[in-house]
Amino acid sequence: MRQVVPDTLKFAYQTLVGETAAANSSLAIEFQATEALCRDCKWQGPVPSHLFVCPQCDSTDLEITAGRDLALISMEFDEDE
Amino acid sequence: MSKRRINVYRDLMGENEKWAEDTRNVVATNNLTMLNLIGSPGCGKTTILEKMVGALGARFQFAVLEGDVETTNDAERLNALGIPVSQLITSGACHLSAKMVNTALKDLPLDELDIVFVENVGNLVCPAQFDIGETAKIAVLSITEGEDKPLKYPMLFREAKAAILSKTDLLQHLPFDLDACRDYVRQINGNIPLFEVSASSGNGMAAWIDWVAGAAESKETAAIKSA
Repeated sequence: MRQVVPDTLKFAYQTLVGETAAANSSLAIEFQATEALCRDCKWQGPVPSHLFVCPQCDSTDLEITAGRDLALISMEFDEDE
Repeated sequence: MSKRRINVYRDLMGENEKWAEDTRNVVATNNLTMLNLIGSPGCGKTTILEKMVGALGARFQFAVLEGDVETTNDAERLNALGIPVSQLITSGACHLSAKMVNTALKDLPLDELDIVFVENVGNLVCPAQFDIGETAKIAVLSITEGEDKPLKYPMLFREAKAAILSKTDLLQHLPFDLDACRDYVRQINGNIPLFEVSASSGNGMAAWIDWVAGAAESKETAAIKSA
């Protein structure tokens, strides 16, 4: 849901690391699907095309439970023994 | 050599969030209601604000933070009507960040105000993503943009706590499917009111102004936030 363009984010990353020690590193993007909980029938699941209509009871009273994050999760690197 | 993994988990919007949080404190401390108007260039945001001066101005003191990429045209229009207005020129940026709004907000005579409107930069994409510490985001869509825009820009309508469909006086001239538009808004966010207004004729403006007044009167803005 964060409307981040993956190609643009990777381009920005490569530009930033440029000639630093991280120049040969790469950015791995993990996508998180948008999920919601129906406040009426308690259905929970992925929301296709951002249409917040419950597939079980047609309610539009849905609460977003996942898909709002934009975070740096972890860094991985080689370490000398 | 061995591979090592460090878990970081850092919110990339965190810096913006700090400023937004400070703004929320300022808004709460001063008993303000801060409404963030977001819509395309030319959808009628400034005109809607102009037309609220009489009916809303009689009941509440309000000010406007006016965001634009360039020019002070909109601020001058509002200032001419006696509304305290601060112009935020982004010089290229397509949205207002929490820090810009925070700084400008603190320059307003906050103890004299009830409501602060933020007129965001004309754009349906980026402003929806930036928390500026507002009480509520308001989506503004005009008839000339076409009925499918809620589907094309779902984030804005999902983040908004109310939506305005403006320029309804043009319905008779344009092939705009009003029922479809209402349905699209409902499918994206079934919990928000949709105000159908014509700022030029005044039709529908009373209901919108009443909603704003209600938000300003119920200092329980948490109720709006959680809606």
